[in-house]
Amino acid sequence: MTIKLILFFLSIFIPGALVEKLWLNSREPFLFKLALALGIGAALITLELFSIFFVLKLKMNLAIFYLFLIAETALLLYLIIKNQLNFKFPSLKFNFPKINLSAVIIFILILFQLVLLGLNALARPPLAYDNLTMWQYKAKVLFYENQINFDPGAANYLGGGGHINYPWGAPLLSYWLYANLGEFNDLAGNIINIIYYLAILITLYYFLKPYLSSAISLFFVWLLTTMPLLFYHAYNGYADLILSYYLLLAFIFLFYWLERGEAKQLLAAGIFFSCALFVKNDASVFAIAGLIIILIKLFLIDKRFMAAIKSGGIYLLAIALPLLPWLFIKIKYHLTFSNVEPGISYHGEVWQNIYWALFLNNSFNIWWFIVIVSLAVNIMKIKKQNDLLLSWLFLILCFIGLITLYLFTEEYRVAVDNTALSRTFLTLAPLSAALAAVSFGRAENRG
Amino acid sequence: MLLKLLFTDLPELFYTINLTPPILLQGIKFGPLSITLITGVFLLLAGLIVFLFFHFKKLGEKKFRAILFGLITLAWLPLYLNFTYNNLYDLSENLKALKFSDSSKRVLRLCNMDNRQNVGGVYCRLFSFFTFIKNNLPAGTEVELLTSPGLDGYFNYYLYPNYNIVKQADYILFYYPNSYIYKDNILYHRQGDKDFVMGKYKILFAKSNGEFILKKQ
Repeated sequence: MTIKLILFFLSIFIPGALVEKLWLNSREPFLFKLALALGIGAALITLELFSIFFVLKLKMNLAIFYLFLIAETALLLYLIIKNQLNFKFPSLKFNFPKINLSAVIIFILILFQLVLLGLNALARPPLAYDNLTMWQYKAKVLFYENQINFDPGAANYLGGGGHINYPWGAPLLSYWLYANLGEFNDLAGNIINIIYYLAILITLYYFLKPYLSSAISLFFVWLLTTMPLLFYHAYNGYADLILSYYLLLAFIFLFYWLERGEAKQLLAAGIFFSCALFVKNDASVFAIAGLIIILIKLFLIDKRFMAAIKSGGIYLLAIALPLLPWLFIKIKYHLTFSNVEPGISYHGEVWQNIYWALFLNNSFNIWWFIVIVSLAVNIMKIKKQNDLLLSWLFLILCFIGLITLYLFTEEYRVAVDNTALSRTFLTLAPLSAALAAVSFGRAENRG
Repeated sequence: MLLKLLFTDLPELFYTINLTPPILLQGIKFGPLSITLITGVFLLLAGLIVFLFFHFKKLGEKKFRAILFGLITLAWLPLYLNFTYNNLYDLSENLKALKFSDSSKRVLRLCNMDNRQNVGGVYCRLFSFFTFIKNNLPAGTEVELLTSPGLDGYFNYYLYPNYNIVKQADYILFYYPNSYIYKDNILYHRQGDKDFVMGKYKILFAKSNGEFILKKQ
């Protein structure tokens, strides 16, 4: 089992790390690169699996697919060598860090949460309803049938499960785990969300580190680890946590682009929004918010009309191109983005549920109050720095987009019955942590 | 006992995946108040006061940030401590469950949620019914499922791939359905206050009242 698990992780991390090297070639710390490699590698392999099952309509042959992965890895390595990009292994030199007592204490508290999380994942097999009816069900059917059923009369048409219009990022990754293990073992499937949870924490820490002290960066990571709903999602297999991870990455690269203006960063933001759209349809709201920010910056602030069109185009292409197989299937099989009937009418009763979800329930402790405090006390700095201002506007637009959806469409049902409202806000928690924390950063540390 | 007075139990329930309920302070003049709201509003007000001191140059930036992070920690603590109390309770349960088989862990978790949410045991008995089906019906049999909404997902997930659940079949899995009645070898579908005859069926195997396998006659 251990060797099979290692093989599963290698099949994700190695191509992910190589693509990261080729595409971003970032100078980020090793652990941050590892977190990025997870996001890129998982998206890559699930898109490849999707193309095999849905576009080519093939049955899975593991031996051939492994050969394909080896060839892909060799090609990526060749491209890295050809482009004279030195692939450095992480340094074994260990510089003993300056001990900061508060950072050590916070780090121990975070470790404590991770131990609790690990035990929950080992002792609690998946039982949450949507996980069994959708995310794990799709993976289970695919594992046993080894192909997608395209017969509209079949019980498992287009993979079956609760919503056939949902993207396949999360179920395909679970399938790939079970295919590597050689058995359907949904308790082992708990590991997927744990890995994403760790990636969120690592990404947040290393994003904040250049702007804040270690202790403050860790403090915000600790706040994130102790939000009850996020913690629960870390071992319960829903796709909201995975979506929040891709959204965090997309936001970080959008922030870097606002700060530094490199086209590479904008491309990265677009691609991570694309990855998010392959996890949940809700990501379309966030991707639109991203586009609005790009246009505001270039068109209204910089007054560069052509640059706005060019950058907006690059961003949209970065979102659409990786998604082409999925968009093709969506169009071919008339799959919608929404689960509800079209129709616009105002549902004012949703406001009360939104208020409960953000400010009365215990899902996020008092996180959204902290976000308001961070915005209020840093408002002068935010007003002066366009990158911060536009980043806050991005978060606000994400909220406005979601709330509009719940107020004016039939989606209001899942807000009123509380089945999806808090989970949707959960996807914004890591990115809001990054934004709230970085707003405290000193101006001279930025850029 | 003292811990029970200080902390609120937030056990894992079926809806925990969707939200964590508020902890309410009872016995307050204005009715129960959410601790999230109380500590959140405290942070907003205290943060505003400290910010005003900073803004009018009564506080340096370093001191302002230290006080503000202190306030955030202070406001975070009540719910964090309660979260930790619940986590430690879960920890003791998890440590016991670790030595169980995967299927026993599943039963334990489902029964705990069923019991704590007072659902009446229909979730808890699911796995013994699945075993009952497995012992009495050969794998690959096409079956029709009659149960309550919310339970069907568990049947679809756990019976796959051994049984094909279809819309109409000779065999019916009858598991506490809300609107179906089986009486004197006849299966009825209740719609409003009328009962419609679905057909003649005999009990092939019965596990208990409300849990059986029917066969079309």
